[in-house]
Amino acid sequence: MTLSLLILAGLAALNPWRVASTAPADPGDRRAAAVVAATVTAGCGWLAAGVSGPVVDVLSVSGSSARIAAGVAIVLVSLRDLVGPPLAPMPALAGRRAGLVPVAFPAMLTPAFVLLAIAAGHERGVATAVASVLPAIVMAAAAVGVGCTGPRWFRPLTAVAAGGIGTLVVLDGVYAV
Amino acid sequence: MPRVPSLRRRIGAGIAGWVFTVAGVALAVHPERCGTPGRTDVRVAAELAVDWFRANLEPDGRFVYRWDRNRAIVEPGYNDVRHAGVLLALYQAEAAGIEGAAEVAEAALVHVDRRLSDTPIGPVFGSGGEVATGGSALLVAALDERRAATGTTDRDELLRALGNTLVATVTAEGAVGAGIRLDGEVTDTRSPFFTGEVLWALSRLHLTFPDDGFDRPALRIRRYLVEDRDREESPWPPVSDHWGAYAFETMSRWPEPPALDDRARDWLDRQLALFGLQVRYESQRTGGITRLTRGPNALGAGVGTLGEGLGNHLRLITRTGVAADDLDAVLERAVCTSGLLVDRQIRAVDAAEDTEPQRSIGAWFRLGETQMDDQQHALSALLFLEDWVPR
Repeated sequence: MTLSLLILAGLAALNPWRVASTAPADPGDRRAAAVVAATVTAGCGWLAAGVSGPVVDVLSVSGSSARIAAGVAIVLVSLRDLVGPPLAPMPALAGRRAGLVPVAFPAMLTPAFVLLAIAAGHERGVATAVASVLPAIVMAAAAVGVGCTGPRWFRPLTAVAAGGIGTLVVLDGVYAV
Repeated sequence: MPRVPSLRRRIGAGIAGWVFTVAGVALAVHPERCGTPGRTDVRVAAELAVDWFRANLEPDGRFVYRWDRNRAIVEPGYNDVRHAGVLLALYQAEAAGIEGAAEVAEAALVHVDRRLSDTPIGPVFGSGGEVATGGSALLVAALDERRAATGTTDRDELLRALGNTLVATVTAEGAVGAGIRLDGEVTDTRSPFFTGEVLWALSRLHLTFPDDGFDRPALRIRRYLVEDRDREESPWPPVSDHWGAYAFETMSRWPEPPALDDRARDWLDRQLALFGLQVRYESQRTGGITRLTRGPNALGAGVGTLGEGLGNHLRLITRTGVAADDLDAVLERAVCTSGLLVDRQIRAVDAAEDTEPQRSIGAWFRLGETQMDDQQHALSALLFLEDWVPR
């Protein structure tokens, strides 16, 4: 997987516009929750990338198949974004703990993000994997911090784009050795 | 506290989303089970395959073509192209030090001598009014392998003549006519495998007889193969061309090997991807529910051709340095292929209940049937992969 596809895949897995829909109403809580969610998500991404070797070995899948798995998960999550109702800010933990539920989970820490971190960690090492998903984490956190969900048509548009990127990740795995 | 159950429901819904997504992923990606054979296991499997040919050689120089294990019957039919392929595998085994392999092949040459015909463009191997070009090409490879393995040169004249026949099947663009009529006419049909087979045969002949000019038609075919073949012949699904892999490996040993330019590199990348994909897919066929999602195991011949292709490409990569970034992955798939072959071969203990165990021991079955080319391709693959498997 090229670095540019990996960065795009990070954006597709996290989809900042999906995440932004979970932002708390209070501006102060939004900013605090964004920091918490970004920290937790980056930590989980680092952890997933760090254990990618043993995980891939235990599951008996090749690096190429791990990429296919990440791509399929991105496609499935983007399908849910396309046809399901948007994630809501409530119910949520109070105050900045809203960064844990619902911003980090279930909005940011999706199977798509975790599987992508595993695939990227296995292929490129922990540092590159974390660095390549960091822009998506920052964008998602920023979207939460400012409560920017964009116009109504933006959600299906980004879901379709994410599905397309997921498909590219699948094909990248299929056509890898 | 009305909020707590809602929050719990939300977390529960999130977990359910995870479960559904992971289940969807699990349908698309299964564990890959390759086995972990040692080098000795691979050698023993190759020797067992040679034993199968020895036990299934008929007095007329042919082999048992297809055996139905469940019904315990030899099914009718024969294929001369595959007969030549079996000879090739046996001489490869002899060259690799498996004693007695050449003896079996020599006995099977009787059938070759019976099926050689003269045409205006030279001798051909096969039966009927139109013979498959691939039969003569594989016979060239087999006889050239025989020459290398046993040191005998008694069929050099035939080798050269067959080579000249093959040259006559190559068009100006480098395509290969798939059939030769006994009146000398080359058909305008194509085969997904004969192009690579003829390319490999001519490539070998250029190494053996460097002054005979077999390199020029070979280079023509090579250009067609990498630049035009997929577009002109549109094979679907795309062909993983193990014969092309043999040819590229052989050409890399020419005194002046052709350059691996961008187009050749592109072809090689596509081929490596095809071989890799098929090995990963095949290794996901582990029985149980994977029979529904992946189907039954592939033919032994199919898995064998993957090993032949990967084994040749491994040699090419290590010799030339081309596609070196893929070396680890190619090696992983190659070792996986050897594991699949070793695991799926029938041993004596597996055939204890068979009425004719000699038809099964050393063979690879799919849905209760084995065909001689299952053993042929698997044997060649094991010989190529042996050196890459950890001791």
